[in-house]
Amino acid sequence: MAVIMSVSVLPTDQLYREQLLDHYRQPRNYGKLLKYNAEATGQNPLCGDVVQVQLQLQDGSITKIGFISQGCVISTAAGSLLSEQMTGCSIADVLELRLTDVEKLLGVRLPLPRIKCGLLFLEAVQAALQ
Amino acid sequence: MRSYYNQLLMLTPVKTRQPKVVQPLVSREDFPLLRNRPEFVYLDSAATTQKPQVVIDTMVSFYEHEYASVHRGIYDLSAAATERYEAIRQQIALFTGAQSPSEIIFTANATGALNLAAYLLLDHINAGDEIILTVAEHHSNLLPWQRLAQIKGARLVWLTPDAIGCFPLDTFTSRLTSRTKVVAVGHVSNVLGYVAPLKTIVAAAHRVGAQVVVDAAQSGGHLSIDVSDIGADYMAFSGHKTYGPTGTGWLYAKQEHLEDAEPQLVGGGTIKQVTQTNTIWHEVPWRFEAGTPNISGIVGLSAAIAWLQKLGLTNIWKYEQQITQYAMEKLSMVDGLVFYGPLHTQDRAGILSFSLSVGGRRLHSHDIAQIANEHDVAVRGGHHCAQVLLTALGIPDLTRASVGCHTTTADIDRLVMALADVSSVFD
Repeated sequence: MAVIMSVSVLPTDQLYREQLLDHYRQPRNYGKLLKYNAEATGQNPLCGDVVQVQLQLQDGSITKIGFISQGCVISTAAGSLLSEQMTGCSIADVLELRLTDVEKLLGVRLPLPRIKCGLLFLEAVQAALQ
Repeated sequence: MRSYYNQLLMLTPVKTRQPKVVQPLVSREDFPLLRNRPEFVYLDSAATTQKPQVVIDTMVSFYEHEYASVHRGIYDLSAAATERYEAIRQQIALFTGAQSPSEIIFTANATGALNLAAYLLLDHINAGDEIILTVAEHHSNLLPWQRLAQIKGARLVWLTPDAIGCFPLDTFTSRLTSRTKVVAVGHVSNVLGYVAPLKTIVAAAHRVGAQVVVDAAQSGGHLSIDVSDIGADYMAFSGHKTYGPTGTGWLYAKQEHLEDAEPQLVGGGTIKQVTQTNTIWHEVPWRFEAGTPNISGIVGLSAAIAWLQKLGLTNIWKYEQQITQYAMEKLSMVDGLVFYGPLHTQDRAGILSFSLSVGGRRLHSHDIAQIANEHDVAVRGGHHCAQVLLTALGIPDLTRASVGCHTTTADIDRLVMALADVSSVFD
């Protein structure tokens, strides 16, 4: 489980620490699902990051997530961490997630040019749910 | 295209001898920002150049002692400002080899100049006509033609850089037809760093009756340009990439193209007379400069041009080639680094785009640039306003280091150290 910290004290210099690199090297829930009932693709036009998300939904909750992506450490690690957290969550709760929640999971305050990297997966999931 | 770059992977040179030392051309101290940030290594001159002290001082002095509007006032201060402004136009005409100052139109940047050129060519394109451009064009020398083609029902003809990342001269000549009306080409590619053979391109294009538009944003501040000798119909220049202030640039256009042309932007300064029903346009080039121009910017630009002329663009080019050679030799020793663009170091701009793989995995340029930033080294990551090129290369992004006349071998060494750290982080 990721440690939740107050956003105001999140460091900006720990993007490349071991935990995030682990999620980058071996992203959880990576791969296509055989069965899914929602999907979406997200792209970051600034850099070419792409993510494709597939979701299994049942009774208003997400039961399984699969994603494939081509991107930087932040976008990949965010996908891995978020997909872990979102599995089992209600659709309503996932639709409420914002940048600050992503930053808490990553454990780091995202510098301005990397915010889109952090939001790529989240926005794709939220698009798939709508 | 993709297979050419796989071949390139195998061609990446591996040098084992120590690269020689290169004496700096200008001092870091000439640039206030670099002086104020002694540890900062700036390798993003292709995005914008840092400003020499004299450029900043000239602008401040202008604002403090001589500032007034141009072309509008009777009083001494305004008359002097106008005279200065027009003298700068003349200076730039001489600097670039134009036949007359009326061939120089000030714009906000090279993008504005290219948009203006496309606008001026509106009447020369009809349905079924062809516009030749390369996939390596910066979006600013791509979108205006894409839109022009859409508006007029013309066809875009795309050229792909050759196997070693240079301008494809033979495919170019074979694609010229009697329907070709415009050839749009970057002088120096902002990603690949190749230098296009402009004179040859112009000669071939003119033979079929096509006009040539050159994007000189990356070349103006690095090599000597004689627009009359090159013979292009239009050339777009960037002020802020030529050690001048932001908000400056200019379009060179052959006199004959401007005489009967109507302006793109209209308003104050573009007319001789306005009535409710009729307007008589001003003479060339003022017709094409609507509104109050970036007067102080152009004053600063003038100082930058004078500064460049004192250094000598031939000297700058020669120096930057040496630094580029040093950089390529050092970078080619980095494991997993692949260059994109010409691998030769002669006649190749100091623009080095590369990808880096560690442990068999291709790293994202955002991560490379972020870690370089932690070492106080500024490089660029992303698509560099060249999405069409990256798609043709089959890659999502590139890291780019670009050289300015203040770049030293020590700067390159710092970049290599930063890349070593990148490799160790991802190992």
